[in-house]
Amino acid sequence: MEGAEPFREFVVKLHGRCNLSCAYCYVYELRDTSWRRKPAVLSAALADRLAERVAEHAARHRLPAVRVVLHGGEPLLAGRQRTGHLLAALRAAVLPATRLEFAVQTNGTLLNPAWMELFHRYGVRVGVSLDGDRAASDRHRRTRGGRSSHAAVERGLELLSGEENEALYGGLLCTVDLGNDPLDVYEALLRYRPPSIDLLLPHATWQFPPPGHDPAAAPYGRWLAAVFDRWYAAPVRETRVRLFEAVMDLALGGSVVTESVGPDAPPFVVVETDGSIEQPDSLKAVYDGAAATGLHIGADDFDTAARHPLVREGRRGLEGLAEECRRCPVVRLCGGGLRAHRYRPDTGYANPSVYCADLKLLTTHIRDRVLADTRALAGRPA
Amino acid sequence: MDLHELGDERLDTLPDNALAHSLRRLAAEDPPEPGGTTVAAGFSSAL
Repeated sequence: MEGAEPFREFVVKLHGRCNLSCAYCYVYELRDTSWRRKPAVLSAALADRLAERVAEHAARHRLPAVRVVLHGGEPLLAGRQRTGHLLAALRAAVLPATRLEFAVQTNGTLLNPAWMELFHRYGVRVGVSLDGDRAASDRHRRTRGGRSSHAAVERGLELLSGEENEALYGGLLCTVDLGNDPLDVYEALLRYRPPSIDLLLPHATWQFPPPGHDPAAAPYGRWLAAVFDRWYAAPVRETRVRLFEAVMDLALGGSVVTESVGPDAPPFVVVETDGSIEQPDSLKAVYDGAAATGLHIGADDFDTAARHPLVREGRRGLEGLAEECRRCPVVRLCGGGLRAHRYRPDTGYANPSVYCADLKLLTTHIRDRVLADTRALAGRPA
Repeated sequence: MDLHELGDERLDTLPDNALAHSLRRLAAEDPPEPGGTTVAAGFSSAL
């Protein structure tokens, strides 16, 4: 498979619907409408086929490990029996030649002891989406009937953060809302003792900019920098924050593979409930069908997906950025930001991010602080 | 900035804060977990 890197992570849309109706959801509320034409749940037959495809890909590339992430919609809507079937099929097909890591990304409302028993059986680590305290989460994370989801999520997190389950606790995924105070949000998330937090910018493009978009003021960059300063100044690290750690590592000369910053895209692929193979699901925020490849696990292997022109285009790193970005002094820190955020209808993805000013503010803020402190540690002038 | 200027002994004496964690991870060539934006981190650093 000349020139195409194999996938190491498979994001599986186990269930294509959700029991929440979050206003910013890229699956249902933004540009893509393909969920309406896809089945609600991945069938047992497709689960078996998926397991064969993952095993085939791992064996062909002699991958030491692969990760399968159960995703949605809300994946727990698939039920424990169907979820157990998929996990068992993957184990049977992939082990022992390749190590298999399982994760699930859930809204947390359906977590209960029976789910945790299943997750323990298969070693499934759990990530939960939460935007802060009740007031912060209620801005967007409500049921279709408009009710708050926070109490149900809180029950799930109490279960997940308990001593018997903490080994499976992956972390929290929080979407930034400028209407929420950054420090209040961080403190609220910390109360659930997450081993890791990731802070996401709400998906947006130049065609549909984010709320409060203001390149002159860079409000998202300032919001994130406020959280960084609070997190960074703690005498003992309270949790990991992936976005900040990634920028710090890049500033200090390390290499980082994340979707949101840095020059390299992570090697993951998405499989939908109908078995179709898609590009990173954040592209659903761009336009209807933007994530599609036309490939299907029934007819196509993952090598074919890795060679697909759209997939390769999305993994070109710095070469795939706009000329303006390639000439920018901070491009190695921000990497042009998330691909979806660069989109304009007339020029496609060859643009700076709609969050360019915010990313510049945040990444230079982190870089300057970290380099000054590191130089001081080394006994050199800042 | 060359991390080797700090030296392993100096790294061992740093407080347990965010910067120290990053410096130690870089010195150990253990990058942060790879991943997409729609999945929480904290699953593994092995991939």
